[in-house]
Amino acid sequence: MRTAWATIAVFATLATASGRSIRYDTKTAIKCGRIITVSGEEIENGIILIGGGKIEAVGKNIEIPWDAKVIDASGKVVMPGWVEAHTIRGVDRPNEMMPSVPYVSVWDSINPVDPYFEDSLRQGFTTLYVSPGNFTLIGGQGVVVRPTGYTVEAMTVAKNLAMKISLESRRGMSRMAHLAALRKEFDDVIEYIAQLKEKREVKTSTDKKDAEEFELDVKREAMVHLLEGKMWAFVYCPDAASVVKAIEFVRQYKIKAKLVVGRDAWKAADEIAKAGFEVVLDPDLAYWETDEDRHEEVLRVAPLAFAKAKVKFAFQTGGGSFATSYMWYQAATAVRYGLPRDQAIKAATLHAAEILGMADRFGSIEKGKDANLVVLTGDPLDSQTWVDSVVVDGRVVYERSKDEKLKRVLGGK
Amino acid sequence: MKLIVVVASLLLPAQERETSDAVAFKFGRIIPVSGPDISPGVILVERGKIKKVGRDVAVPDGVKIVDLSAYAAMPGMVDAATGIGITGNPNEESSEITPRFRVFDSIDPRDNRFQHSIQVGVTTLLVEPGERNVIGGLGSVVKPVGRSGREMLVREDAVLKAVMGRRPAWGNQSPRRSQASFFSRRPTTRMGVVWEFRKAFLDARRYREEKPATSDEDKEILLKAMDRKLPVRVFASRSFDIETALRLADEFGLTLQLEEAEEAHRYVGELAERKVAVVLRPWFRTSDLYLPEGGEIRFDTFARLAAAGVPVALLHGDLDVRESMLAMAAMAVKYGAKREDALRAVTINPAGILGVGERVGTLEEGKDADFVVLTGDPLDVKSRIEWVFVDGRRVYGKKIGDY
Repeated sequence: MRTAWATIAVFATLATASGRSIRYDTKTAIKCGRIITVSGEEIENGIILIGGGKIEAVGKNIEIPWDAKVIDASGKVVMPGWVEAHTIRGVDRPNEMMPSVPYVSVWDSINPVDPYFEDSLRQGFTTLYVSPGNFTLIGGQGVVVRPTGYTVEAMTVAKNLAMKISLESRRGMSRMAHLAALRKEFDDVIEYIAQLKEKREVKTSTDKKDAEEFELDVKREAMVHLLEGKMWAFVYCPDAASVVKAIEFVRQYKIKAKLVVGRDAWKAADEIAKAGFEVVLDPDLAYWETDEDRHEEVLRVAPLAFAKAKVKFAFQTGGGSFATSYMWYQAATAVRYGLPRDQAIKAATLHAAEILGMADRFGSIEKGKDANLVVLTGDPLDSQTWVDSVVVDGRVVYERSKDEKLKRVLGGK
Repeated sequence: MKLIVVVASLLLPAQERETSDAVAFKFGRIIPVSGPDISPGVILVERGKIKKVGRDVAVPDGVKIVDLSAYAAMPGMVDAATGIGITGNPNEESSEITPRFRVFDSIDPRDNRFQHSIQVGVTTLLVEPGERNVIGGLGSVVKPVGRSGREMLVREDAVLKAVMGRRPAWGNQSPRRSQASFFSRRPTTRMGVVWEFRKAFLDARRYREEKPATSDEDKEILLKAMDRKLPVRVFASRSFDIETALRLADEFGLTLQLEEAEEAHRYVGELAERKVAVVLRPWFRTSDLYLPEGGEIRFDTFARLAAAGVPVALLHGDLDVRESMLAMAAMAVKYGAKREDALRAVTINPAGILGVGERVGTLEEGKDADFVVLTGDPLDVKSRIEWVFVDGRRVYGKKIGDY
């Protein structure tokens, strides 16, 4: 072992001594059969040029530098990686038992070797917002990750992006008590901020010996940020009734918020539109509601209701069944019931990135964005399409031809 | 873009179902399953049956024409394993061997799940006992339309349900460990499950030899199974449960059908050779490491069984039962199956396995006019089911003109 380190040290020295940098970045060019840019028109037979992990150019007539690595995806479809705007998977138990834990972060809970991440990559996800669960009053902070890397550090894109607040009444609690508890938490922080301000004013006028006393309490830090507008919150609304409460609450405390909604929250789509919220939909996009009196079944399609109300929304995968755990299936389901195709794809890419406030980096194939791409064998909404490879930050991180698990389940050795 | 689709009331009187007039349906494409696609095509329906189907069907004068040229038609789907309509517990828990119990006696025709079946294009289904009994009783084939069980009934004693593996033993307590009570149940192990099964059939065999004066219905039913007049549907997940089922079928000369059969990929050759029907619960999730009962996940099980000639039906898998089974068929194709095999696996194959292949499962002359009308290809997830017809009558979907 010691010898190995010594050898590496010698080589490193030599490389430096010869004046050549070990790290250098050649450009990568992907020749694509079809590019679904999402932000603009689709491009037939186009080229995506990648440098430094970013998209440098997209178009039909792009000159490929002579030393660029060329990936041949002609005959294939290239689109931005799916963006999961909200998930509670990939962590060790998403819901803290204590009702209010704004100071915890899923960053401490993400399990990089959870099969969820491996599978996300296989499905073509390149950005995931991993959030605390839906059943804790103030659940903690979520993290944006890429589903690649063996450590949380390597996976992390943005640490502690948003606070999770839930309006789902905790077991044995009424909705009144739940909301009262939530207000109490916020009022306490407001009082704390006021005290802090007061102490700081005193501090500046007297000597500095009590300085430490006036440091921000780490347990309250995130909530202070939320109330000062430096952080935003994902508010979980299990139903339409709680949407109204969420709107009231967010206005009262003047916080920045986006909603994660249950499947029937579309009934409050107009209220959501009026309040200007963006939403992440329940995995159950379309469902049948029973009219017990008339013994009739009524089909409800949440994305159609939100599209009609002009609310920006993102799909979410998960839930119990095969279908809802795939993003392509979610988009195809929405299209089946009448959502225009481009809107369905946006809800799984660009709009999801916009809701996360990261559309400058993710969600479409545009110059300057992170090179997070998926190479598909066909149309993204076709059940017969395979994810051929996945590119994250310009690097190929998944190749179907090397996917041992896939080979195994398909009967190969 | 319609947000709300109101489903017509399903309570159609039987006499009306039978006396509907002749109607000709024009389709952009007909997928009869029994043969090549017909596009465009016409289905002529008379008294609830398909009178003619083809590209050039002479429509007699005065016959109403319903123009659905923008749509595709396929046979109503057949779900070969459900507990739909059973009110209360689907398992008779007072005994582990209950061959004479008929689920038909507990079917609630107004169960919402019948409507849900129609919404996803299922027009014939098996209702069978649950998985807690070693031999649970008789399953019936019904259509999800009608005011009473009788109206819905297609075939009363279609299968005798039995279960291998851990489920009949799960949670059972032997009387020795706790106080013996009504709730103490045998068996408590996998071995015990097999012994209970064998004991029941051995007793039936002795009953035949001894010819007692009083008839025992339980034993008569088991004898019927041993005479191959009643198929035995064995729920078996793991490979060793499948093996056990095959062995028991040999011992008692049973016509075996396997249900669930998660690990059937290990016995493809044997199942094909013995022509054992398989009602397969597909599992197509790469995120999982193991199947619910701990089996090995394989995506090619269906493709291999079908290619080997095993009569195989697909179930919903872990799909929400309110989603179309066609999604599973589409995934089966993606993972190596032939398109025809996948379509057969949700139509004629389950119909054949349930013994109702003469009436349903394909769009052929003389069969029941049960069909599903889609906006596009059945295996395209973006296709939507717009109408469902049972016995020639619209049971789901909006009015078509004045029809």
